[in-house]
Amino acid sequence: MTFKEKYKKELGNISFSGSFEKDTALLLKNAAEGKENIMSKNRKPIKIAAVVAAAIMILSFSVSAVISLLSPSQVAEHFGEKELAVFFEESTHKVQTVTDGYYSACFLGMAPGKEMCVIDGTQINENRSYAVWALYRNDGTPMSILDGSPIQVIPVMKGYRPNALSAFGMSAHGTEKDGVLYFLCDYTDLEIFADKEVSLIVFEGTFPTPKILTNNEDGDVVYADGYKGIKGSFTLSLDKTKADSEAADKLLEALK
Amino acid sequence: MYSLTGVEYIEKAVKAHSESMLRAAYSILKSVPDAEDAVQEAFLKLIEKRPCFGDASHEKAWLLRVTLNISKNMLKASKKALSAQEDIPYEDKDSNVLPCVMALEEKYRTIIHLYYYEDYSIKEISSILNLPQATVGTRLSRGRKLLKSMLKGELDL
Repeated sequence: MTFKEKYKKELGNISFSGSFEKDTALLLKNAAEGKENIMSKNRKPIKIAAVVAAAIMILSFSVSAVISLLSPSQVAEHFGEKELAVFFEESTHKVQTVTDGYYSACFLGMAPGKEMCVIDGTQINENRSYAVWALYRNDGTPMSILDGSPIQVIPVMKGYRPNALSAFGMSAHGTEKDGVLYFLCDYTDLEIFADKEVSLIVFEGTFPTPKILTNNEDGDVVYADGYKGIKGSFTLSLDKTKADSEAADKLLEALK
Repeated sequence: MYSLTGVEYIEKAVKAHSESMLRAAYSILKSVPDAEDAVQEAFLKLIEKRPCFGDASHEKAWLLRVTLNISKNMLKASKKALSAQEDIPYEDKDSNVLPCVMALEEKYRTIIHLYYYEDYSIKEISSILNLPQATVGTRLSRGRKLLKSMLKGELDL
């Protein structure tokens, strides 16, 4: 037997609690419910004047009811990201909505950032791109953060596999207000790819698997045959002067 | 309408990754109850941070990274220095591979574990531990040398 085989066998013989998975799943479910209460308690009060001044009014797809959404600055503020909130105020990205008639995903804005907010709570020393998007039901049924998000929004680039840009690590912090879910997403720096065709694509599922997203002959990222979920993408207004081919090539080289 | 609710996702993640996370935590903490605590804390971070993953392997790598960080912090906090033989309830008492790995310093033990148990490459280990590849390579090499000396060349590493 090799060292590897012996080590695997001996470590594999260590017994953990038989009910560990069941107990852990229950603990997490309870924590998620507790988390919802904590988020409700910690949510910062939003001044009515600020809501009127900064809120974005979106017309619902199926009914004439108007949905008032938070601005990306407000969402960033909610997560305590004051500096990011300022960057979002200067964002020139257009608000865009994608719907399948049941859900609507609304892109609210994008901002660059550095040394902020990160995957596992540790500050890292690199540029990132931050986006805010909202998810709501067209019939007005409130959504709950406990349910998780059935929809994901990830950056994609023509000529590369669908998970290329998310392979460098991305995270999303979620919250809920008035039945609408908001996500502050942390992506790899997209501005270095500003001279390429980059967009944010919306899909239903957990991972961008080949059954959901694929590339066509021209290299465009498209939905796979048989995929039946929400479809659409958000156009990004990236600053082409910030494109950096060298940095982009270096990152993409790491994918090979 | 959608494939996974938050609750379903939690259950799926626990089922898919608990085994790896528990072994990784155990390799640092050398204690079953402590390893279970560390892994539960890692899953709590998952629902707190709600990261998005490009694919399932990223999800696993993220969970392992968090598990290892939590385990290291627990080890520092408790300042335990267990003998390698003490807490190891495995059947084959005659074998000395596991005790030898457990006798290594944590910085070598972690890399040996990720390389030999999880079959990660040096590049992947570097990404999980947020260390330069050269450092991972050096520590792997040093860990192997120490193990060879403890095992008196009995096994191929």
